[in-house]
Amino acid sequence: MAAGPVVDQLAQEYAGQPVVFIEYDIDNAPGSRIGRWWNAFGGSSATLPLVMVDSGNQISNGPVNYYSVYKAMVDTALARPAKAEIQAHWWRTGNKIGFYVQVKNLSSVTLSNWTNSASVHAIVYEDAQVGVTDRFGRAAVEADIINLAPNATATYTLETNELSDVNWDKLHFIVLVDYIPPGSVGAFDLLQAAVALPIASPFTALPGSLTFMVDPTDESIPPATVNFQGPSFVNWTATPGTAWLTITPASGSITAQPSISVIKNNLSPGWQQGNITFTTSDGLFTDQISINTYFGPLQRSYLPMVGR
Amino acid sequence: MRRFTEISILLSLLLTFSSPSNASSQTADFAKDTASLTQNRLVVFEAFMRYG
Repeated sequence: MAAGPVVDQLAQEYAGQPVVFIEYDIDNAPGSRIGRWWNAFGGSSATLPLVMVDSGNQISNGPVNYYSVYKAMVDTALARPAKAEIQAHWWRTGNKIGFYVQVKNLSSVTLSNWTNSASVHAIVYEDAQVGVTDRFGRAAVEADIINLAPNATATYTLETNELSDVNWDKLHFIVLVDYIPPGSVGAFDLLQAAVALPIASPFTALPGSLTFMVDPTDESIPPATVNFQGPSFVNWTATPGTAWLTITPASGSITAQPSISVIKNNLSPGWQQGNITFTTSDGLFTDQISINTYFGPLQRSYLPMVGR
Repeated sequence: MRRFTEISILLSLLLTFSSPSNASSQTADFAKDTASLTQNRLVVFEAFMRYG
């Protein structure tokens, strides 16, 4: 059996296990993934197909007993321990895909693009027979890991190029972390990979706008509650843009629901506009709530309400 | 007629400037997402092929 059908057969056999199979067009492979294979190979000429698992920890090239060789590569990789913890999310922006990723380094090595080429990769592949298998790599992008000590955690954001001629309902999104381990003459190794989960946006504070109506005789002004949308690993800090706004607490987790209050003594007569800016603790994303407030005598009419 | 107009304006104002605490209640589904698959090792098998 040819290599392509074998890859599809293995994909079916491993459907219930944590393995993904991706085919790339070798003449137009996205990103730097093909470079990982050549790094592991070390030579200058090879015979197709070129296959790797774990970013080059194991490779194969040319005609082999595809089923037994490829299956053994997968089984060997499955038995290896994860050396990073990844939480990954993706969202669509036009025809691009954004990724928001948190990585915890579980290895004993400081990850650094400068010293061991450590990086975070996001790969998009489609269930489609474009080449010779039923799965085809559409995009691969990467972000450098600057300095991530053992047990340290950091976040990263990545974005693909424009995707065209794809069936958006058949796309899959994965994120991985790889590096050149100590002692390697050039081959990369994969610390961990994860399936990215869909998310509406990387960080949103809701509602987008608020209105307060304040009468000078008001003894108390009901505060407004803020909710957030974003990955569970996100923390934020709030910065009021004006002296008549306050928020409590001023920082917290994505599940926190802070209260926005108006400081009556700091209001000017009539309408005024202010905002509160929320920034993720990694500094990667911000969002703003716009607040309009009227301060002056109000004539309130209370209407009867009918309920059932 | 004038009284009806005034009540209509009041209703409009009430709807437009509804209580801020009510305004925020429209976003109950915060942080729905949960952690992704991180505990099991995910193996990535990549094949570079030529076709056509």
